[in-house]
Amino acid sequence: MPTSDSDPAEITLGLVGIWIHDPEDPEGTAVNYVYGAAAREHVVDAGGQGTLYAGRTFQVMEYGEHEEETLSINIQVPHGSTYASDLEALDVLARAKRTLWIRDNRGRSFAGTIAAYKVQDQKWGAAVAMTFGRVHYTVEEVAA
Amino acid sequence: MQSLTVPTGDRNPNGYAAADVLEALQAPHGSRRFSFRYELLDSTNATVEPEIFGVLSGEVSNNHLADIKRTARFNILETGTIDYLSDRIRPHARLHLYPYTVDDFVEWPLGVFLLSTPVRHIDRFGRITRDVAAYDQLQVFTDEVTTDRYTVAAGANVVAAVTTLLGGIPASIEPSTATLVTAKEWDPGTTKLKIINELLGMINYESLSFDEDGLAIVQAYRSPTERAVEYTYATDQSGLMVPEADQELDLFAVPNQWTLVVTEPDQPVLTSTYTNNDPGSPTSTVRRARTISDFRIEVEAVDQATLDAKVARLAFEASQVYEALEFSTAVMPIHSGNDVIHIQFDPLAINHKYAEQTWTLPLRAGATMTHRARRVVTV
Repeated sequence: MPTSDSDPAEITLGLVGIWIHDPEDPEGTAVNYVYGAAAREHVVDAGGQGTLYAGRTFQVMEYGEHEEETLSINIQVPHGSTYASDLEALDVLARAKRTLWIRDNRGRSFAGTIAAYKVQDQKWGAAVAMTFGRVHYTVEEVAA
Repeated sequence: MQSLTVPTGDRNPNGYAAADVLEALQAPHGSRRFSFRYELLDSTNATVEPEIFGVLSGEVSNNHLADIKRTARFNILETGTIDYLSDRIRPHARLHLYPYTVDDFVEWPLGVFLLSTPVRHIDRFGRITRDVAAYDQLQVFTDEVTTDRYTVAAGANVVAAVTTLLGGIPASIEPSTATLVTAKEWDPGTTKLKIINELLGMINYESLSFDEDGLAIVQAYRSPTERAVEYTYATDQSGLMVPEADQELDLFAVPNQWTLVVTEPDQPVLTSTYTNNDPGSPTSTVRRARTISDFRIEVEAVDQATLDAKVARLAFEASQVYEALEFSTAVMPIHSGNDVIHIQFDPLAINHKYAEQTWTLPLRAGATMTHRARRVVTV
């Protein structure tokens, strides 16, 4: 098990907007989009199969170990000096075909992959929509 | 049937009592939670990996009347961790109990399976999978044949002869004092399973089987009428039977007289006949006003008492086919081979004791388990 070089510390992370990074290289890949915070949809589906049994009026649900979780994101990229590079960075992420890590200003934080990436041109810039589907990710524990 | 009081330890870390397990199985509050674990074993059944994650789906079946009783199918993602020629897989069904912390579960093993090496499939995303047909350890004794004439000497203890053929594998063996009256021989090329089962048949034992943990089982046959009910399926508030079921009732060709004859060299001819003349039986010679015979020659039995027991067993088993019930339930991993169950299925006015013949258990939460049970009838 790896060890850390410094003492662990507890702090509250204050984020603005959406942060996305490659978990293998957070510092080198993190991108932040501050607009569109009020237009996200977080869906958790615990699965389950309902079956009707003789002698019971209502179904019995049976659950497995699997869950599905998605976060639908809308990002607004306004015209400006970083417009092209911001869009390009998103395009790279959409084509990354690998696990990414997402965090937002509402405390959501998980690993997932991007699907349904869509860019709509607007008078003020571009409206980007994507779905972030959670994937299994084994977090490596670091000893204090 | 496996016990509801599953062993303590790894399979029941929090030591749940049988009543707790039964309640979690029957879901009186409307929901259950299951998961499945696939353990990788080597050719000696020693654990290689406690859990492998490449099994995408699976299904276990049991047919108590088949030579190879327990079979399985697995769809496995190719990860290179499995040696298909020697490794084995033991699936486990895990029932989770409230409050659903990591150790709140009980777990039942579902058999030890040898794996076939089928064609690999690659999909358009580059994912390689195998659809693996798997068989329990009876396959080992089907694959191995005698290279010379195999002989068991007169006077040999039959169970000891079977034990020798098993070759020291872990086994649960019910002892017997029965011995061979005359020497018994098998031709070169005979499977070990055939020899074992013929020896066991001579002393009215069940054919060889393996339990869920991979232990060989050698035990005397006992009629389901003599055995206690191990589980009750009912159409009540704790019921787990789906509403659809098929009941078979075919009395036309059921015999009502059975005769077995033994003609072996160096042994007097033995004959035993069992006639169903019970007026209470719908297939008896009395009720049908005619005799429908089942005559079998060259049957093996060491003495008259064994032959009488065998013909009584034959009569009993022949009469069992007269009513079969095919039904489906929720996932119930407690089943084993030849379970005795009571079924109370009100839509067909069924309320009887049955011997379970086959079942198929998909290894998926929310799946439907199919069963075929035969009603036990004393003729």
